[in-house]
Amino acid sequence: MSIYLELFGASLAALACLAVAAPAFGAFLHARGTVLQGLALPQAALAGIAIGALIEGAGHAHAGHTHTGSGIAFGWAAVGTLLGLCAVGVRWRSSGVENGRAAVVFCVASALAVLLPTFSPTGALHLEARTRGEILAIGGADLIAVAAATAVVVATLVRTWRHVLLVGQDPTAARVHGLSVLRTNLVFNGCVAVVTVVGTATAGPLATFGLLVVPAIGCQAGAPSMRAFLARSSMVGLVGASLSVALSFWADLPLGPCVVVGCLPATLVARVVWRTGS
Amino acid sequence: MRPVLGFRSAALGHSGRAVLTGVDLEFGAGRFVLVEGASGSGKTTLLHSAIGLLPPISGAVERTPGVRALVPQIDALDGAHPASVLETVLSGALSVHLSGSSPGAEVRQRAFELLDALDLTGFADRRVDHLSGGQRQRVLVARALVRQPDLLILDEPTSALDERSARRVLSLVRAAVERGALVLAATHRLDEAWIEVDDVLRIAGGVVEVAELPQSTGALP
Repeated sequence: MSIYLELFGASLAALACLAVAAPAFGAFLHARGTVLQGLALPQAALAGIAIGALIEGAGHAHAGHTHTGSGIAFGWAAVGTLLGLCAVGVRWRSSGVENGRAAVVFCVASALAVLLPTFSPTGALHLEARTRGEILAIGGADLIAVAAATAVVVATLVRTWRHVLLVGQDPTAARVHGLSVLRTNLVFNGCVAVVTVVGTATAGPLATFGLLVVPAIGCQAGAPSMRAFLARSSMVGLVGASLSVALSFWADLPLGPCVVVGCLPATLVARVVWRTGS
Repeated sequence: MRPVLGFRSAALGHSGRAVLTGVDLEFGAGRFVLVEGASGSGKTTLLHSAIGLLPPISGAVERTPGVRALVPQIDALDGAHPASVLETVLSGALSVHLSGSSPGAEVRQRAFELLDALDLTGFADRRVDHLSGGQRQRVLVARALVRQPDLLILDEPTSALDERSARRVLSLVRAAVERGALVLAATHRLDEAWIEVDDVLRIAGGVVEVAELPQSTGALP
């Protein structure tokens, strides 16, 4: 077992960080009606990596980092996420227009992520590895980046979740209160963007979708409070990620889709247990 | 008496379209002002202009600095957030800075006292979206009062309340007035619960005029 931990410890730790942070932000995305962002942004991050692979000539693949969240991948994922976020908008609550924009971003980013690698064979390998969620080669530097980014966004959420709640529940009262709705939304969406970049550059878009979108849906109906909703979503994300690692390891399957598949039973159980207990 | 709120020949409205014109009013601290008018007459426009949500189209609206709070109409609260009653009430006492500290023990104590006074004892851990309309309306009142505002705006605060609950709400508002708050409250339904107001503004035909107190005109049932 220790050999496995030595080999895969950094990867598992990175996934655990993501599994704690992403579902809590996903909970707010659900509550704010902006959950389509949780699909559009990781796909935009992947398209950013595809653009980077094309421009850089897949230089990071030559450097032997085909499967890792290298600095270049983080950078290009950030570019893609930022462009996606600008296109979707950062309103407090999604209207039909913003949901439509998120859907369009998802479509365009998906097309780019398929089309661009055809011009770069090594880029194609690079993108495929990320789509499959091949995170088992994450190195120490990547883990530090993931852990630091996760710590920052989680600390920010702990500090600001009440503000995000007030802005989401009643933006007019928030303005009267003296709170800047725009600044609050920028901080919140900035954190979602960081989670997206870190998740997509390391675990790939499928794992990021899965953790942002799936766990919270099982916790919303039965949660007695917003704080419980956030905490329960993170717990379900962590359980789902653990199941997915086990599934990926024992059945030798790619981790990305396993995260989505692993989160489903955890989410269903949470929905039944907490719905019954509420 | 130093005015807390003043309208100077103001035209008030949305998107450049004036709903109310020639508004020239001044209010000092410790007054309870009732704004009466039919639905769609411009009550919310006047209230939102008073609290700074709508800039005047022409003229000026002057306010002294201080803590402001709003009790919005009951449908303003988004129900998709599974927030508890206590979380919602405490959100009214947040620091305006994102880096500010969360509400302390004193504020929590005040929140529980307000919930008790509003007949919501035992509801602190219930979800707001699981409450009735009247209970939600009282939660919104508690959220506004927990910060002890200097300027309090209430938009149809008793629309979903029975007479007993309305009296409870308005007696708490009266207590805020006694502490020195200026309160502007709008209603389209004048009943006995409003007997303690100090001034009445009547809105009709895009004009705001000072009216007689309801108890002196026999307008109350």
